[in-house]
Amino acid sequence: MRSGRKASLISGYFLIVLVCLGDASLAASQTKGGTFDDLASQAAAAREQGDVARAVDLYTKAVQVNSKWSEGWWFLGLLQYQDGAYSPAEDAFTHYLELNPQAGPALALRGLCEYESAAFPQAATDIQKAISLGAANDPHNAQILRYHEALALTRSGQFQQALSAYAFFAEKNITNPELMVAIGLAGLRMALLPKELSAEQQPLVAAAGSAGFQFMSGDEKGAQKAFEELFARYPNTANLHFFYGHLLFNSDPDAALAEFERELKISPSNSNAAIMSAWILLLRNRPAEALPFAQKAVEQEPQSGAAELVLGRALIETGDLNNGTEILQKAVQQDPDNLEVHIALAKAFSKLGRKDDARRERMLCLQLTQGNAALSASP
Amino acid sequence: MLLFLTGPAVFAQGPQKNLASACASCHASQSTTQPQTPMGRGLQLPGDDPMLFSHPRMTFQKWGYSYVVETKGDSSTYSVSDGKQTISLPIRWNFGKGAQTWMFERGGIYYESLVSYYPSVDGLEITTGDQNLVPHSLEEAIGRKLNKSEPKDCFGCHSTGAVAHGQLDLAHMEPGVTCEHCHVGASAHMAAAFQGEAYYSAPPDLKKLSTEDISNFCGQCHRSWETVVRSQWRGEVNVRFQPYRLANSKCFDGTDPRISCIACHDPHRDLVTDEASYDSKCLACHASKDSPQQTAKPADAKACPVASSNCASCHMPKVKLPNGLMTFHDHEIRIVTPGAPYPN
Repeated sequence: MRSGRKASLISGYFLIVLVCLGDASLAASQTKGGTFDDLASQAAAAREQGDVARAVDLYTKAVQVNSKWSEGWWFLGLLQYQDGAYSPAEDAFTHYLELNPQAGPALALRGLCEYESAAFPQAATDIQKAISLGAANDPHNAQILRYHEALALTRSGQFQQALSAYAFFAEKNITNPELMVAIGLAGLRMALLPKELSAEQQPLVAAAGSAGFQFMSGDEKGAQKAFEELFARYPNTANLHFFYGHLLFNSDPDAALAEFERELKISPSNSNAAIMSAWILLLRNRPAEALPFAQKAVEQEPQSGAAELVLGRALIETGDLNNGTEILQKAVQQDPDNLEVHIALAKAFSKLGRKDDARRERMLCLQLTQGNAALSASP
Repeated sequence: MLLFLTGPAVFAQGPQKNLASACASCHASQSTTQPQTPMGRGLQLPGDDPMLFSHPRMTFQKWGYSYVVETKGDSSTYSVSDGKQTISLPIRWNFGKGAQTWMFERGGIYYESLVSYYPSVDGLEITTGDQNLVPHSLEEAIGRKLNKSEPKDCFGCHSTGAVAHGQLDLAHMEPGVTCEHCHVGASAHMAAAFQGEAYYSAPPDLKKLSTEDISNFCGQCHRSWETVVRSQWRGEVNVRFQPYRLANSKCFDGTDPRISCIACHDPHRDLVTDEASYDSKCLACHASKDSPQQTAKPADAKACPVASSNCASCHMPKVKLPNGLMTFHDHEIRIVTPGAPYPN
C-alpha cells in the first residue's frame, strides 16, 4: 500500500498467493511438436533458475509457436509484471484471459498492470471483476486489490465508489497515513493519487480522510467533532461539507441535506451538492423544494444523467408530466440499466395513465434488482 | 357562532393535543372512529395500552437470554437477563395496536426491542426482521440499535408531530396517527374555521389524488413500490407492504380510482375483514354485463369464470410472514396457480 520498497514487498507476497491460485487452474498443456516442447521446458527451467530475461524470451517464443498455451501466457505475464514491464504483462494476461475468461488472479494482475500504466478506469473494472471472482478471498490480497481499486476509482473520478471501497479498511480498522490521504482525496473529490498531491494540501486532505475514516469505522460522534474542527479551520474549502453530507446520507438524510446546502453556500456551482439536495428532498416527498436544485444542477451540468434524473422526477412530481417524462427518457438512453431512472419512469407512466408502459418499467426494475435479495425487511 | 365561542377554548389547550376532538365538531364520523383504529393507536404510551394491562407478565427465552415484560399499574418494564446480569428499561413507547414492538432510549441511543408481542401466539417472539440478529452481549440482547434516521421514521409513521424541521421532537409528539398526520394543515384549518374561513383553509383533499399518488402517499408508511424495490426486499416478507404488492398487479392503473387504496379501505375506520364485503370493489372492473354493478367507468376487465363473490379469497391469497407470526392478504391481485411460487 505504500510506494517504494514496502510496495514491492507486498507485491511479492501478493504474487506468491496469486501464483498459487493461478497454478491451481493450470493443467499441464497438451502440446505437440519438439520445438514447442523444448521451448516450454527451457522456459520453465529459466524461470525456476530465476533467469527472468531468458525466461521471458523463451516464453515469448513459445506462445508465438502455440498461442493457445495458457500456462505460457500466465508465466510470461507474471514474469513481466515482476520485472516492471507492465504494458507487455498486460498484453500477456489479456491473451491468458481470452483462454480463461473467469480467471480472477489474471484479471487482478492485469488490473494492477493497468493501474501502473495509468489506465485507471480499466484497472478499476478489472480489479472489481477479479474481486467478484474471488481474487480477494485471501486477506492480504484483499487489502492490495481493494486499495488499488479505490485509488483507481478516485483517479477516474468515481469518488462515491472509491469511498465504498475504502469502507473495507474502516470495517477492518486497517489504517496508515497514506490511506488517510487516499480517503481524503476521494472524499474531497480530487482525482489524484496520494503521491500526486502537493505538500501544502497534505494536512487538509489527511485530516479529511481521517475524519471520514472515523465515520466509516462507526465513530460518528468522533467524526462529527473532527469535521466541525475542519469546517472551522478550512471554512471555504470546496467539497468538505459535501464529503460529510455524503457520509451522513444513509443514516441521517436530513443532516446530510443541511451539509449539502452548506456546501452550496461555499461553492454555488457544485452541481453534485445540488443533485444530492434535490434527491433527498424528492425522497422526502418535497418535490417543489427539490425542483430549483434540480434545475440548477442541469444548468450547470447538462450532460449529467444524475442531474437529468432529479430534474425529471421533480418535474413529474410537481405536475409537469410530459417534460419530466421526456427528460427521463433521455436519461435512460444514456444509462439503460439505471434503476432510479426506471423507477422514475414507472411513476411517470403510471401518472400519465400509460398502464402497460408503467408495468414494463416496473418489471424491468424487478429484473434489475433480481439476485440482490435482502434477507429481511426492516419493520 | 357557537363554533366561534367554543373554538378559542379548545385551542387554548393546544391545537395539536385536542385536534381530533376539535375536528369532530365538523367531521364527527371520521373523528369518532379513527382514534381507535390500528393507525389511530399506532403508538401507545404507558398507562394507555390495553394489551399490556391484560398481559401483566410475559416471558420469553432465546439465545441464552431471558426476557420479561412486566406491567404494574401504569408502568411497564422490559428486562433482559443473561442469568448473571439484568438490564431493565422502562417501556415508554409501544408501537402497534395488535402486534407490538417497543422502543427504548439508553445513553442517547434508540433501540428497537428484540422481542415483540404477537397476538397469533398471544405472547412474545423475536421481532419481525430481527431473526438474524443473534446477540453477543447483554447490551445487544436489548434490541436493534437504530441509526439516527430510524427513530424519526418510526415516530414519523406511528405518531403525529414527532418530527419538526428534520429533527425528532418528542416533546410535541402526539401518539398515533391523528388528523394532522395525513391532513397537513388541519390545525391551521381549525383556527381559520373558528374565524369563519374554513373553506379557504381546507387541507388538500386526499380523495382527489390520483391512484398513483395515493399509493405513494399511503406508501410513506406502508412502504411505496419504489421503496421496496430500492431496498430490494424480496420474498414473502414484502407481503406486508401493500402499496408495493398492489402496484405489481397487472390491473394496477395509476389513473383509475377503482384500484386506489382508498377505493377499498377507509382509513378512518377499522379494517373490514369480511372478504365478501370487497366483492363490489372487484366487480367495479370485472363485472359481467349481467352483474348489478353500475360504475362511472365501464367494467372493462374480464369477468371471473369461476365466481362473482369472495374474490379476495382466491385472487388475493393470505400469505404468512416467514416467521409465521403474521398473515396478510397479498395485494398483488392475480390468478393464483396452485403450488406456484410467491411472485416477486
